Amino acid sequence: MSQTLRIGHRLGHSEIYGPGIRSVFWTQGCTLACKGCWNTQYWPSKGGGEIEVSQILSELDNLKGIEGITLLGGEPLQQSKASLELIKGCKDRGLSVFLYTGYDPSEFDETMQSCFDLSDIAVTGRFVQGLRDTTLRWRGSRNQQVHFISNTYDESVLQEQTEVECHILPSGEIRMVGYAESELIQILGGSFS
Amino acid sequence: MSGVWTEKSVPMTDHECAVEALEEVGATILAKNQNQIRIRINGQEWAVQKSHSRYSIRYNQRTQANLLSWMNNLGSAYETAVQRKLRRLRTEEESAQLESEREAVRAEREAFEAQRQGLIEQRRQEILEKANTLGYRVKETKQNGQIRMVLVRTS
Repeated sequence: MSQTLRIGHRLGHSEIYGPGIRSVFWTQGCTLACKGCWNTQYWPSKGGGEIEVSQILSELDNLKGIEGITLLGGEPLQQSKASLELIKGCKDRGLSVFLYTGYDPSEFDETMQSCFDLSDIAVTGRFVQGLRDTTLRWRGSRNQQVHFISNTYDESVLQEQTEVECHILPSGEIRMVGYAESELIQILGGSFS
Repeated sequence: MSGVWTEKSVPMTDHECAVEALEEVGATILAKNQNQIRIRINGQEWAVQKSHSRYSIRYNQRTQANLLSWMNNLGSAYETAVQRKLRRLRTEEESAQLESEREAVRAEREAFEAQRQGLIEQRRQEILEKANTLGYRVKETKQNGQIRMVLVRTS
């Protein structure tokens, strides 16, 4: 039977959470509670919505034009069994996996380690507000580490740059995701992930 | 040779209904215009003329009077055709009314769509201008009705 993953938000197509165009999942629930975290709405374990991993995989089968998925949160490794099933399913389909976790690898249990080992790229470590740096690519603070785990990618894809993504929905509503400096957030407004 | 030619009129005034009624009683229409309908029925040819807004037929009372039995049912056939036409006109009026309502909905929808597109374009311009001001490069993609704008700054 398929595991259930609690998800707070998802984007079908995004270009700033890893190489290429990726489907992005913000898992719901995180107890790490990093000070200054931008995604506090994904802390509560009761929020978001539950979806079976098999259902997610089936939807990914029908999603065209993506190179892989990115898991962030929330904390994906606090739902490690479901995350592992999703990661394995993606790998089986030839999709690459980019994993964000606030945990340091030294804190991993066996399942978390498997999630990490099967991913292609992972960013690890707590967000530290004092080390916040919006010029970094794919991470929010300077202490966070980028790991190139498989042979699919190497450091050549990691050109440091500030990336923000704005989605203008058919309704005219703006969604902004990424590593925006506060000036940009204030100027653009809208909901922020 | 002289003859007595009689004019027998039929209370038909509407050309379209007259044609339908004549066909209903078994006539074949040979030719028709607004003033005359030429028909063949029971092997005889007749000209049904329109004068003073009514249709009538002229016949030789001596030789043709017994050949006009088909006219007995013409009045009721005409009435049926008139009722049918009235029903059709009512439906057409209703359709016209519906079409007018549909047109209003369409116009409203188009106005809403124009407003929506305007808002999207306005938002897009705002983002572009503000991103440029802050030194971002902007890459834009349209997908499934959404605009995705990736803002990148390398400095």
